Amino acid sequence: MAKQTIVIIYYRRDEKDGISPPDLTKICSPAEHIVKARDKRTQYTGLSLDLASVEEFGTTDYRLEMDKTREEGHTVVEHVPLIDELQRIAKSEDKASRIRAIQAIRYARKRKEGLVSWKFDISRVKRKNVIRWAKGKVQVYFVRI
Amino acid sequence: MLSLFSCRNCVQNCVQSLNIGPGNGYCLQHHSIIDEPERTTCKYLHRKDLPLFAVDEGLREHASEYALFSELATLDTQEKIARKSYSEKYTWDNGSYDPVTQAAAQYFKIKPAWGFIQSFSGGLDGRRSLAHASLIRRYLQHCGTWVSSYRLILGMLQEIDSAAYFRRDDLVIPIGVDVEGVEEEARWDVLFCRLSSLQEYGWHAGVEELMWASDTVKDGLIELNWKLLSAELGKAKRVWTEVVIEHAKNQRAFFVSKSDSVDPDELYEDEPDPDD
Repeated sequence: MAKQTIVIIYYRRDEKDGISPPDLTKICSPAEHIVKARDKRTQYTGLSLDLASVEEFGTTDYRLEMDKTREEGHTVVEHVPLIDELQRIAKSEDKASRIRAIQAIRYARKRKEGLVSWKFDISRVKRKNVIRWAKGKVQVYFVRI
Repeated sequence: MLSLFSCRNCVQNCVQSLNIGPGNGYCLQHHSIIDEPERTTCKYLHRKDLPLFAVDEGLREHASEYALFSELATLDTQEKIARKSYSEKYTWDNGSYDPVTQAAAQYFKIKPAWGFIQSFSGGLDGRRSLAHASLIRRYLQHCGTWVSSYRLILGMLQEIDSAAYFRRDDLVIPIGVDVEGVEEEARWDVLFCRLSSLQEYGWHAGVEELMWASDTVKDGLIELNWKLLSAELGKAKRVWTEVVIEHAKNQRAFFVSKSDSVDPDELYEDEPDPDD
């Protein structure tokens, strides 16, 4: 009997002019990103296993090119490991982190969320240009569907 | 997720949340009807879903983004929205009357404010419970001290382990989403708003145990297991109640004024003014 392969696809709903760029200068935890505790844009881009659960996020659907993303050195934090990590934070990190992680678990479960943590080298990009620079970079990892 | 920064998730719009209260909202900060709460915001946003001190950095960023707007503004296009005063007649004229919004819109007409807030407690209705916790948080923040709010927190605490119930019409149900799922989410909206009110009280009072109250019940919260959480809350609320009372007594603030007693000579009912 042939072994079945389960293909996991991550989606993103965003605007029709492309994927909203991350702010690669804003380093935070996954929980802080999910509950937007520090900034609206961070070094992460949110994904979902289920387009219906992120309908409010924009008008256009995209699919992540997962292999390409990983091959080029970026980290895809899949849904189950993300929930595990949030649960770990909620149990064992500092008090403020625990509060945020608890709410993040709720939102991440509802949206069946995963994340891309981008690993671009921005050492030669002027800080004020980082977001615009990133917009051009992240589009190639997504296919409009 | 922009909706976290919308009026739906703000305590100033006490009658709605991300999953509760379809239609118009009402803002106590701007004294305005909110026609599209999910795409409206302002620089005074006070999030419902988490205590202020846990998300203050993000809120400061949001406030600076909307610093040049003195009024409500659109969340997606950043355009100002003109104030739309609440009128009971208007709601009947355009078929938008809602009893909970009607009650909230009377907030500044009824004194004392804490008495008005207390009148929202004591039931299982999810929308009124949400409004109750939101009004407490707004009042606490507005007063800037725990002293005027310990009685409100004590009242809220007695209900914190009660599950909230909703009519279908009270829920925001997106197309294709099942009612039961939204109802469960709505219940969590109420719980987190209540818990955050206790935590913000803890912050104002400088009581660590209350500020980090979610730690006491974290097993149920992490699992999002209402049955487990309800049992944890049932035990914790007795301890939290004692902590609030002891702290207030130690600070010599526990019912020191006469306002807690009801003097029969001061009881009266106003005749309704037909022109009011």
